[in-house]
Amino acid sequence: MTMTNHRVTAAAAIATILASLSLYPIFTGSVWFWAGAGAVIAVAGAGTLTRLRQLPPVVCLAGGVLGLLLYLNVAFEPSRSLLGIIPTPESIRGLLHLAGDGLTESSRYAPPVPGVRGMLLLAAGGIGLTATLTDLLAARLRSSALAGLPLLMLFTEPFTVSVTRGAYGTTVVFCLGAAGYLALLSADGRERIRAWGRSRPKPDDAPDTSALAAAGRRVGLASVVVALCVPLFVPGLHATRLFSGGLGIGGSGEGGGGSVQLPDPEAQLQAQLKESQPQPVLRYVTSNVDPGYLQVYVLDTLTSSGWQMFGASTANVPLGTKLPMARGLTDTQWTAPDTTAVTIGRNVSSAAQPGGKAATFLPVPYPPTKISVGGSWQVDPADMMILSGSTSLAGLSYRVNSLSVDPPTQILDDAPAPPASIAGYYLKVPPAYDSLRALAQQITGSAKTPFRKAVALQNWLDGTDSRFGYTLNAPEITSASGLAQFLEVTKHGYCQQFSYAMAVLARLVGIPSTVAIGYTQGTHTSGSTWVVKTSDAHAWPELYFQGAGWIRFEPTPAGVDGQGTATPPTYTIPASPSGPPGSTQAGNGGTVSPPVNSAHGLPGGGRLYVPPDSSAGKPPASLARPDQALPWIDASFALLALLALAVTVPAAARRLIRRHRWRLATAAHSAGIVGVAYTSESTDVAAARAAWRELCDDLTDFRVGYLPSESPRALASRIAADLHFALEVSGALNRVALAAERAQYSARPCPSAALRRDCAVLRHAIAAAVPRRARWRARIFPASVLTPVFVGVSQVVDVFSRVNPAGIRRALPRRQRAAIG
Amino acid sequence: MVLDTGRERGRALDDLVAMAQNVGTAVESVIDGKADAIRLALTVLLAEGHLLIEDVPGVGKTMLSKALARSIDCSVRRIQFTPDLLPSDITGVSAYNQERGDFEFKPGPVFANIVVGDEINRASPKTQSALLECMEERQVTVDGTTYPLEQPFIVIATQNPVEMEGTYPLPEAQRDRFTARISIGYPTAIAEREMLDTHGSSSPLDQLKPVATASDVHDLVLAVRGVLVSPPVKEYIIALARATRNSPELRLGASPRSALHLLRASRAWAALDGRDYVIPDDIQALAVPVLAHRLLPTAEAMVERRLPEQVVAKLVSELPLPRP
Repeated sequence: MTMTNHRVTAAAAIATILASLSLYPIFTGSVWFWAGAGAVIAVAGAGTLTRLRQLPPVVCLAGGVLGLLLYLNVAFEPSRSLLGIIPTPESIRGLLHLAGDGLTESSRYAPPVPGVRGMLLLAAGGIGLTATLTDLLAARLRSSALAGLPLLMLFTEPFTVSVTRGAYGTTVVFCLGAAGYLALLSADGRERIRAWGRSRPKPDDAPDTSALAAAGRRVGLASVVVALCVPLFVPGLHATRLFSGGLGIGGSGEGGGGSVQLPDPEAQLQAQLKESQPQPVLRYVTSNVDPGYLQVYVLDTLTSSGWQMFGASTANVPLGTKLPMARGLTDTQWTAPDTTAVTIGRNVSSAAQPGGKAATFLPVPYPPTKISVGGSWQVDPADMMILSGSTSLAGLSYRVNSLSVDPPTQILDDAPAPPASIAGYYLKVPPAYDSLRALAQQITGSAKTPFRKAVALQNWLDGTDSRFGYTLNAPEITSASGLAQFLEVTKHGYCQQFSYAMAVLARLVGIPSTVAIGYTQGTHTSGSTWVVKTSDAHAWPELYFQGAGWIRFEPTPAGVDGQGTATPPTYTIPASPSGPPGSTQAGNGGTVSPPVNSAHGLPGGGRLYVPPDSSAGKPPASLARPDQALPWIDASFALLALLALAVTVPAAARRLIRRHRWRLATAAHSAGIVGVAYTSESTDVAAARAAWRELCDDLTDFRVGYLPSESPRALASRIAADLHFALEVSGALNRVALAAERAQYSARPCPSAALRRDCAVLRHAIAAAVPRRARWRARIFPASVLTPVFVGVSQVVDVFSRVNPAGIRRALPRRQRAAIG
Repeated sequence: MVLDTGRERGRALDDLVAMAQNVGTAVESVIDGKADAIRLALTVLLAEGHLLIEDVPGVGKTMLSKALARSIDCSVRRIQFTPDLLPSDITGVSAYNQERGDFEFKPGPVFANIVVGDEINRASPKTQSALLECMEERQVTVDGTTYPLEQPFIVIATQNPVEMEGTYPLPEAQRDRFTARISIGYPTAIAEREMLDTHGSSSPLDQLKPVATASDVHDLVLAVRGVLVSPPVKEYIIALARATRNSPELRLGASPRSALHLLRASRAWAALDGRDYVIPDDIQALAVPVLAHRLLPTAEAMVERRLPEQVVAKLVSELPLPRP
């Protein structure tokens, strides 16, 4: 066993511990982290023991797993172990039982989960297994680069459970994990060079790998910085899109075979709502002054793990010129035909799907009656979803004829019971939700008709009375327990939680329901044009009333404190007989209350209109531009600003340094330099030093340079000859050099009166003597300012060498020497 | 480049500069085109040190030492070192005086202000060490009686590096006692022509007249002691000495005594420039003559033909100065 393996083992353990930090959104508290760190240390110890002899990798792997088992046994089942350490059949059974409990608990809790023992065991075991693989790959098989794969498993874990991640937290955790991995690579790189050796090894048998390692660390740092910065400037390249498996409204349908994969609408919804900068998705021109929502997906099947698509459909039919009639919409006297021309943005695209293509779904107003669109499309006759397995959405233009459904309240109140074909499927509720039945009935207790019950549910949820609140940082509901937690405990969420809740509660009180996912009507820009952005992504419940068919409700809080452009439908807001159009008042039994922002209604309807931007009411002028140009313009401005800063800051810093230097020299005049009472000599000394530093900085800036071993006299002699100074300039140079020399070495410094002027003369003379390129470079990018910055950055990067025991060992004598010297 | 140091004129230093110029001119009338070697010899004289002149035969080693000795009106003795020379031939001997009926000390040639030791490496180590003891302690002890040497006292020794047969090269410890070692080198063609023209018929030494007295030199030595050596310069001297000790090309670095010699020599060098303070340029100018003869290169450096002079010059060019 050599120091080699110790170093790589330590680096692998540190990398695993740092990567395990990525699990932070899954758990509450920090016990899980320490449990995982303990497992990593146990595995590292076991791995070190197995490498005392040359054993096959399989034995090393088994040794690591055994070490992990011992650790888990000691940590979780010491009471049933022999001497509290050695596993017994009982303790192993206890561990298995605990792991089973952990699996059960994981399905009961939505992240972040509390640190219950079963979950802790799973966490420690998972991290320990990752550590075993990392240790085996890095220290035994000497493949540190491959050791990144198990670490990647830890990173991907939070993405598989739909947790809420803060942007800063994610960034910091990513940086820490990347740093750990780079440190592992760095340690491995050093050891490879050490193993092969150099022609002239140093006495302490530690070849100087600092230059190579520093280069590697710089490359690594640059890669991390680029990986973090590029998505900020490149539109369409966002982490959420890459990881969400497709934008949902987009697709890459050209070519290729394989099965068509269905997207995950809820994940896409969450990803789009959490875009740091809302991006335009589509534009449409409509004949309707008050357009409705654009439906993309319909989740019609309620399971114990959430809402799913395509439960009720039989077979899709090819999209013809005319669509089948919307189900249940039998009375069309209060409907109006609309025509909508939609253009989808060119930046809408989806990531490639492994093993197949993503199905694309068309955003359309509901219910559509006729669609004119290029490509091969199909219709789901049950839920009127328009989908394709081969047509891309990017830049697609199509025209939709639809009906604007605005049924009178009376019709809805008097709606007959749904037919068996609807009630037989759309009222199915898994037993897991039965515990919420009492709540649903309590909310709708005073309502007489199904429609009133639906309105009561909407009003109970919509946040008007501050019972519920809107936040994007809420865990996605994926189970009955998650729904109960939302309704009874957290009470804060976004449209996914509200639509999920209302649809479930509606089924519990006997109203057929689905969850639709798509977009709100978006933002009105000019004329009859509307723009829909990613921030308009939305989910809403659709409830069935015979005669009106599927009509939407809006339980999600709207307005600036909620879903920005969401609006409750007019049929849920009874109009006041005496009030102005758009105003509302309590209606039957006071169950309907006005939305908070009803004063912002659009003419022609009582719907809310709140643009997503905080500049209420007035759409931003930039929205009138082509959609895909917007991020580029922002990026261009950002780049221009960065460029302007890069050009001005170094030069300004140089001027500031010069001014500050002379100010200090002048201050010495009034206060005396440190520790010396004021004398004219102290002023002269300060001024001479300032002048000399100024001259050296100027020489650095103009790339004339100076040697550290050059005395003032020697330097003056050299540059006077090299730059062919005139007599006057040579005189100034001699004065500055002599002043510096005497300030440093003589008891009587020179008078300093003319030094500042001499420095200015010299600067101009040097500038005139060097080529034009060097002159401008000195003015814009003064090396005297930039070089220390680069050196500082380089030293910060070199902090990785601290993880190297050899580096520390070499550093110690230097420090001791410094202390002695 | 010559900088006006702006020094407040002091009599001692002004006299020194004038006298040094006189001595330099006098010696240069004998040896043409060797101003650097002459200045270095003067520096060693004023720094109260001893000078080792090492060069091939016939370039003027002895002539330089004789000229320097003769240009100062002081006692001068020349010793031609041979293998049979005894220590008492240098220090002196106690002889029985029949008239007085007592032993009487007969001072050797070392009792002089300037002692010229010609071909010092031809003497036996025993005799060499007797001279070197006098150089270091500036006194002679014979039969239990100590006799102080005259002030000023300088030994100017010459040695020939080519004819090594039948010689006893100076050990490192003894070379360390010489403040500086210089090589005169061959004259330029012009200087050689001038020498042939001028010195073809008569010896130039015959026409050389003293331009200073021993007392003058003693006063000037005292003046040189007053030249300021600032802390940064002392730090620089220490850093240079330590750099030679840590150099991978040297197996023997500079001794603390050499640092002391460097400091004293730099004072004299600065004073000859008319400065009352030492600057790093003085150290850089003196580093090779003062340090190089004390250093021993490693076997690898010898194989690569890296001479200690080159190593010192490289160290000087790389060692950073204390920043103002």
